[in-house]
Amino acid sequence: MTGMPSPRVAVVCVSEDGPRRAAESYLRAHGIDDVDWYVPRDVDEVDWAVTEGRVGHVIFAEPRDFLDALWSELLTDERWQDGRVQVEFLAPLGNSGPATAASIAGAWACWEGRRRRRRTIAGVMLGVLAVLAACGLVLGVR
Amino acid sequence: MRAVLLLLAIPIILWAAQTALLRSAGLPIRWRLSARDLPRFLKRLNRWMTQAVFAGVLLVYPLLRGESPSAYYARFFPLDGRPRELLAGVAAAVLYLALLYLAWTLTDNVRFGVRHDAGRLARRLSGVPLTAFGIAFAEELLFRAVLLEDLLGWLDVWFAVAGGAAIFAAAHYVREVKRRWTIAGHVALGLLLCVAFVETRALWLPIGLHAGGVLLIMGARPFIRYTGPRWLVGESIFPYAGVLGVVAVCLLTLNVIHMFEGVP
Repeated sequence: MTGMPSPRVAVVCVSEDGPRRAAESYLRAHGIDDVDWYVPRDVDEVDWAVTEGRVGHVIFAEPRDFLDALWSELLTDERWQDGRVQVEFLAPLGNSGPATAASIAGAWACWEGRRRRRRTIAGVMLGVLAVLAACGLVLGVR
Repeated sequence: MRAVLLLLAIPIILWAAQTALLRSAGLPIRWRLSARDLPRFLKRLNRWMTQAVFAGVLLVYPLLRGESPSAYYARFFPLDGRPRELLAGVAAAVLYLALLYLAWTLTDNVRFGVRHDAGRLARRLSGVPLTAFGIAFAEELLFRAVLLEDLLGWLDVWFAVAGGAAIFAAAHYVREVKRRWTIAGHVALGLLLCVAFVETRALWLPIGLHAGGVLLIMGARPFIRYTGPRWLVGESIFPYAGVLGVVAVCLLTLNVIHMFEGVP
């Protein structure tokens, strides 16, 4: 009788050497040697792997990547909320309450800034189209 | 030139009236025209005085030309199908603004939602059409039928349009205002309304464009929260003051030139 393969460990980490080496040494120190690597922009694939039961333990090199994914609504599976996914951070979010709050607020400001830029670019593009459409419609009814 | 002098007299008369009001109420004199922090009855009196001075200018100007006010203004409201220009103006302004609001809503630069209870919402919305057409009618009489018509009498047409637009824009900043950066939007709007008047030699189209804009802006105001950058979406009562708003008003001006060239 063959059982389901046990869920694997996923590591979300940028591909640069420094953070990658720090993550590898953490994994070695904890005896974790077989992991799936993801870069932060592919975190939706981690969510998909969690949904399929292929991943049950996710290590984020940066807590900020987890928060970004959460606020961007990329972590959709309910396993993230009820603790069925084991989430770990290599870097601490903060050593005290105020430091943690400041860290979360800083991450939020960064995320909101990026969102605002994207929103503005989209607003300009769609706005230009809207104005051109209005111009064309007014010309068309002549 | 008479109209320019009359319009220049307006802030002076208003300031004198404001000073008299403040003195009678035992309040300190203000060097700017401003109703900020005044008691409600003084604000109302101030508003009535402003309207009375505007009405006075509208009455005096034709008389200075030796014409009756009714005969003078009637020429700017020709019939024989021309009132349809009013509807065309309303439709064009509403179309432009509606599509811009749609684009900004889809991209989360503007958020639509009900911000007031039903009673307050009904009260606010019920007054919008009358206010929109009232503002448009009064301002078009003053800035187009009096000021621009006068400028056209002694200036080349495009100088008159530029002058009319500049004075129209500046007039919105004579009183103390919360922000001044919106003036580019007012200049663009002034150009649009002056061009509409020059192209049609009537007030139907300028009133329609003006009223259509005010109608949508005031009608949408209780539902809208601006979340995008001001340079893009303007301000709650000045969405045409953002970059896209100014572009939209300029394109609408080109539409007007294209559609109404040689109409009269």
